[in-house]
Amino acid sequence: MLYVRYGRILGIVEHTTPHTVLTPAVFYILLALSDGEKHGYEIMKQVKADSQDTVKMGSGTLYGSIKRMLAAGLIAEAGERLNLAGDDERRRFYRLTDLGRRALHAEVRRYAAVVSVAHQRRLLPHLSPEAR
Amino acid sequence: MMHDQGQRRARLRALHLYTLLVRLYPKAHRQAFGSQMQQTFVDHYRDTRTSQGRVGIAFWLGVLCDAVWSIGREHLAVVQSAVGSRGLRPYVPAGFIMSGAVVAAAAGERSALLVCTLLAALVFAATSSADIVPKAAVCAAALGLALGGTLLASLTGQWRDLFDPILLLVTLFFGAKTAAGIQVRLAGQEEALWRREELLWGTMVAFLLLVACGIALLPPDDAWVSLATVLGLMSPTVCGGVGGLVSRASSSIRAGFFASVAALALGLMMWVISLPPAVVLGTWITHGNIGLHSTDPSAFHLWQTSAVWEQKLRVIPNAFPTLLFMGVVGGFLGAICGSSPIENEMHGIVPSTAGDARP
Repeated sequence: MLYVRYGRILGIVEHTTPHTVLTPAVFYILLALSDGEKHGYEIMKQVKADSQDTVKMGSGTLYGSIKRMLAAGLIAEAGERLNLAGDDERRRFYRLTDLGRRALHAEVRRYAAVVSVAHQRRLLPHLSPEAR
Repeated sequence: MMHDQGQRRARLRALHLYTLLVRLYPKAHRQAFGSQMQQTFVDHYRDTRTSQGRVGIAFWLGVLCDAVWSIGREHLAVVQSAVGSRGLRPYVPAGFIMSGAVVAAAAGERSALLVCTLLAALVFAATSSADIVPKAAVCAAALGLALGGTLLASLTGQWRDLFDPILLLVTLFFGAKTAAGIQVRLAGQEEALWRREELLWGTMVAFLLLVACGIALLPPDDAWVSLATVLGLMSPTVCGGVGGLVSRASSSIRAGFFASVAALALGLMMWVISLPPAVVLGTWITHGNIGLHSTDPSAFHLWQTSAVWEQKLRVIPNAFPTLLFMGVVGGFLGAICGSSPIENEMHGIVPSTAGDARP
């Protein structure tokens, strides 16, 4: 396991089971960046879309999270360039790092394991393969 | 055309308002992300206007809530990173020790031994020197101060007053503070932090003396005294901030410890300090004058009369819940400051390379 604190990697401690718990903000930002580089507002919109409007992130929260994720090495700046959307303003883009991608994968796997258990216990009948 | 100009003006006004909010973020955060935040805000504003036709109160409420939350969070992160990785965690036991001392003092003068033992333990633990001799010297100095104060009070025939919880806490605090100064001299570490801190507490002592004189000269009146309790309840937040700022310059255990103990003691002192202005205000409102009798030679005697103290400080029973509250809030602040922003953000753990599948 990799412990991250104050934006610095403090040490690597081996654990028998992967244990990843990301906050919704961090998880959705990682998810938003999983399909390519994005600037701040694109991330905001993607988070809103991916979470089906359940996670609404203002620019204060977004850049606070970005700052901490940059410090933790989960994301990195991908340079400044013109926005493809058409306005002529330069924007700073962000991308996932390898560490961020691994964190996202581990978290998604954790969710998948939870969903699997929920299926087995018939907690999600409307999502079960038989129902579909 | 006119419509476009109107929209542009409205957008500029909105951006101007948001820029004011951005100024409330810590400087480093503002410099790193301020322009991006403004850009994102303009994008958001433009999209909202395009999709909804207007920018209503819901938009502004969302922006305001987000700003208030994140501004607080970023400032807290600044304090946390300044305090260092050890944070104010030592404050938690110190807070409980001090609360215990207050409760013990409240139990009566027979608890003097317990109080002195607690003081000794507190000072001994706080002295960071590895050498037993400086530790013992500092401890003896603190105990000497406390016991000397007791002796002085007993010579005046008002020795019970010293075990008034408030006086006791002030004695404990200044005893510990003086001991810290002695320790710094013994260790030869007269850092800028300590000079600033000593200056701060010196000012506080002077102010406290002025307040004590004010109490001595005032006629007994406990009107509006509840205001003091309210102010006292506000003090932990203030003193927590002060403790964090004082310890900013150092991440040593000692500095963190004393800064956190100072935070608790400052809370108490603010409670004490807030009392006389409330009494003055209450007297002034009730009697139409401030009632100073500075030329009265019996004023000093009046100050020493315990009956007057009891009348003036009738809120002492309220002091105990206040102190307990301060202890709890102080512990809470210490716990918050002891954890890091990234830990809060990610619960401290990010998956390692081992065992994780790559995409």
